[in-house]
Amino acid sequence: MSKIDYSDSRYTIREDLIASHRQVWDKLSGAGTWLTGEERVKVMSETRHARESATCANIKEALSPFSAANPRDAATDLPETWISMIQLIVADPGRLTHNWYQNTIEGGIPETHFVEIVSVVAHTTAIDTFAHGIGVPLRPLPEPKQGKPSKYRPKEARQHQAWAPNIAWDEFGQNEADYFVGPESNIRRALTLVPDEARSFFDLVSAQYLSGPQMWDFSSEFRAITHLQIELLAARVSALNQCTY
Amino acid sequence: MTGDHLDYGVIVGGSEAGDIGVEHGDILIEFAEAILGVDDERMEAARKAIAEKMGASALVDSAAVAALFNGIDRIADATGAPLEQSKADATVNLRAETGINEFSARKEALNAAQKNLTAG
Repeated sequence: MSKIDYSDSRYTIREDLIASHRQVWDKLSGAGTWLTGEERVKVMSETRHARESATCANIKEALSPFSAANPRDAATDLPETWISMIQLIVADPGRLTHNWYQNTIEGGIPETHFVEIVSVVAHTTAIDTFAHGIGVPLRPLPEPKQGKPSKYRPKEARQHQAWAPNIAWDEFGQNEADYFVGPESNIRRALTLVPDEARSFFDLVSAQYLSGPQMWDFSSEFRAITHLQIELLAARVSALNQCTY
Repeated sequence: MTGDHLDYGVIVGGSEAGDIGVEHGDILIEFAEAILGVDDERMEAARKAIAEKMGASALVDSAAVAALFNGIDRIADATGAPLEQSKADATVNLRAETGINEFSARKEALNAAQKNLTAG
């Protein structure tokens, strides 16, 4: 198993951050809810390939990003519909549209798989960008583990205002009671069609950003940068990504 | 980030838009821009600026936050997560002032064009 390690970093990395990244790498390499471990690691590989590929630049420059996706520009044997989806999320997330989402689902990617692929791309992006930020090479991808996806779909998940179905803040069932705590948040709902992905990503949020209670506790600082400095970084990154959330 | 003394133009306009009024805001903005880019020299200079002026731990935390949002933005945008009404109401002026509303307008135009293409 490939274990995340930052011993080559010039800077000391918080132990909780290392532990969180190790946990993510371990989870991404195993069977998920709808994807096998092998498929999840291939999605990680495609996320990296898309970022470096000529297709990424083409998508960013195109008048319509959707026409510039190139499923033949792939690093793995994942289905072409998956490759295009990953390329667009990696290269130009700010120009993704509801119509694109509908076409992707109609093209044969089930909503459940869609949400899990988004999650794997997001986890990989967060950890790869961190490596870039502290000046170390990307960490080796984990070796895929055997196992069968659980195929658990919470019965409370349904269509709301978001494109992908999710669980409303006041409709969660017993299995997800651990997750729906604190103030209502649409971004925390976004992956709840696949609850384990939502849990995993928001564990990473707690390590790389702040936990829920810490976000709203302005009487204390929890990092080496202040709440205000944290929000400035977050806002500038989101603006560069043209994220409207 | 609701302080009256803050210049929100920097959020969308970047380091060239001026001083936002946050301590070390200039080097944090530069770091956010560098970490999403591909210029290794710019990245190294941005990294060093934070490490030297704010400390190594601040660099690590800055990298963690910027990287996290590079991931979470993709979740919001790919799943179509809407902004909560309360947040939308509270940020009407901020969103207009910074030009963030233009992102939504461009996205809606692209969506309409796609629909027309499909219908045609």
